[in-house]
Amino acid sequence: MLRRYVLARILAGVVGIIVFLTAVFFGTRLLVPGDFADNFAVGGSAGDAARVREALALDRPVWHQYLIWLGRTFSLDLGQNPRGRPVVDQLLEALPWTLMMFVLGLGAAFLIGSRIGRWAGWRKQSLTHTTLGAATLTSVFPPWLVFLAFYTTLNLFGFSSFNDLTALDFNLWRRGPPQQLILWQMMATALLLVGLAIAAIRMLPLKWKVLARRTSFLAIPLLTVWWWSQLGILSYAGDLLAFLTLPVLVLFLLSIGDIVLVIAASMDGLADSDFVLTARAKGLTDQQVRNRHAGRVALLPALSRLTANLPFALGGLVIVEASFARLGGYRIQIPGVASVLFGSLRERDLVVTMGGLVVVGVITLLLRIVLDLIVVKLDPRIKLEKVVVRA
Amino acid sequence: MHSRTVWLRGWLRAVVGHVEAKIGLGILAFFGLLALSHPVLLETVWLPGIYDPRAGYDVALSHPSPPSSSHFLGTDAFGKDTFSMLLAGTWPALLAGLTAAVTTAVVALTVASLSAGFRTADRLLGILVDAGLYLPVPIVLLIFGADPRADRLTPFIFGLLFGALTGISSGALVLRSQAMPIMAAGFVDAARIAGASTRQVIFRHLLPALLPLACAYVVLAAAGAVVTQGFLSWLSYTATYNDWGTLVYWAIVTRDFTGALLWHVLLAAGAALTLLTLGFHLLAIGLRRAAALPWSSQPPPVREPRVATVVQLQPAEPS
Repeated sequence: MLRRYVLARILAGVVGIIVFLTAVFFGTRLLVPGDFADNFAVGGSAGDAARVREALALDRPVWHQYLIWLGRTFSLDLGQNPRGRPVVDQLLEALPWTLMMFVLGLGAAFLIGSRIGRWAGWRKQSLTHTTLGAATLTSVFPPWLVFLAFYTTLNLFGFSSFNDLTALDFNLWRRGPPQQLILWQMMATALLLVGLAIAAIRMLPLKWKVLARRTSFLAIPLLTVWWWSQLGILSYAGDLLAFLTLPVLVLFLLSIGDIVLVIAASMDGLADSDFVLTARAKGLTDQQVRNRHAGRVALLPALSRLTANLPFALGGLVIVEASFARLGGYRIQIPGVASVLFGSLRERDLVVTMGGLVVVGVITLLLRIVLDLIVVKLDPRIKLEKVVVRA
Repeated sequence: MHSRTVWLRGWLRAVVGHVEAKIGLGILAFFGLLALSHPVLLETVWLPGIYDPRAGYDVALSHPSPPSSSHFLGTDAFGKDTFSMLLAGTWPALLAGLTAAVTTAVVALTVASLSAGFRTADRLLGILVDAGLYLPVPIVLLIFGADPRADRLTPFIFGLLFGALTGISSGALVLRSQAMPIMAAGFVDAARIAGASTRQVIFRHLLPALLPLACAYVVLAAAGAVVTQGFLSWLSYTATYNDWGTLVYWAIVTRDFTGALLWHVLLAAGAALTLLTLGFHLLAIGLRRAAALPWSSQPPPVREPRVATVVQLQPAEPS
């Protein structure tokens, strides 16, 4: 049943993404003036431009171009930039940076924010209003202000310039492996360990489960670090993590407020509901009722809201990347998808812009499918048969 | 007519009954006053040569200067008055926020009510909304504003685009999910049995019930628009020059002679942006709380006076 649901979900996603691609194709045509051929035949004669036009199929009608582009996009060919570099390569190089920041920042924000929200929304406490007020404030803080807050704090603690933290160690990387490779390895090992830990905990007998779950929060990072040292990438990984600390913190602060507010809002009336009373009558402690019973219910609206806000979150990531670049006078570059997008906008490089948008759309699609599966797993009311019939 | 005004008044009372909404409205009114006062000040008190937000220069001081009696928030590196620039930037921010709010409301309510009323439209609009959810709104606006030759991202156009994109994606999603249970409610069935057409159901029953929630959502969209506009103008992708984001940019780029950031300019612009966004957020919280109340059917709860009742037990009289 789950397999059919996943298939139906992917199918619906593909339909959505085709409409999205159509919007991207015609939207960029409308939004960005100028001609592709001009970029490719810089300084050439009119004949050169005509030849480029023919080679790139730009002399065909628009619908034909659209079909060609759609077909190529589905076969993972996003074209090439005017210097002849395939766009896919360019974006694949940038992707691990963006993914790393996104997973770390948003994951930490969700883990910590859902706890704070659960606590603040459970009963009206004296600190509730303060917490929620602070959460509101962080969610309205513009990114550069968050960044500048860090900047001043660092200055207070003796980092005379924040270059210490926003530059990679040049000597380390001069003969080192490509950074993208290290990033992929870091993510793969961490994800593998988390997956293994989840599978192992499920197989344990009940009396070990609680202990294992508690220790795993400490054990998984330690094991990850140990694995990195075995692979010989520990120093590289450490440098990368230090480099990403500030952007991840900014992203964390930008997104945590929203999560706290949503979870606290959906926890609001739950303390008086019937199932909480039942759980309490069973003799569970207040904390158990809050975390296992009410917290699980409150997570659902937060997850669906996160699903709706994913493109905004990715946009926020772009904002953070761009903010760093701008604040550092473009000396600090986080070479993520945003940098590629900005570079393409500066150079009026439409093909790369469209490719960037496609990548953002595909990331959103994948994350949404994952989140939907989590919701199905969490919500006992969703019967999969029904969903499949409707989809 | 009468019942409608009662309904509206009840809702407004419920909104204003929340502290958050009061503070939020207060903040918005404050910024409205600031926006209005700028041209008046330039006409009456301030000399345009010194205080003009684009070209003013005070020869009596060396610039950038810290806050002083003649320049309430100091001046920037070009000798322009910070407070005047701050006031000039208020209207673009407000305009972008309000346009975004109205556009989001119109688009999202249209999509939600069409999808709730007509099954075929629901299918098609569902696909459209789904596709809209892949669009990163800030990035799309960046692409739109990226053409250096055309200053096309004015506050109004910005709000329009932001509102349309937000409305068709997450706004429509939220309101559509709220519209479905309303369409399944008993009073809608009753209206249909009484012979109401779909149009009548939408306009008489669905939209009034949907409106309070829509207001809460839309005000949040305005907050998002203000932040995004600040960000875009900070990256100089918008068409306005007197803008809080631009102010932040110049504060960071043009240092004073010791190389320090211009903190008075930076904090003024940053605080204004944060405060305005906070105002929208607080108003949204109040609106959401008010929407959760059954304000239309019940009078506001009357507080029982707390009176300690002392019951004296007396021995029953022997009969």
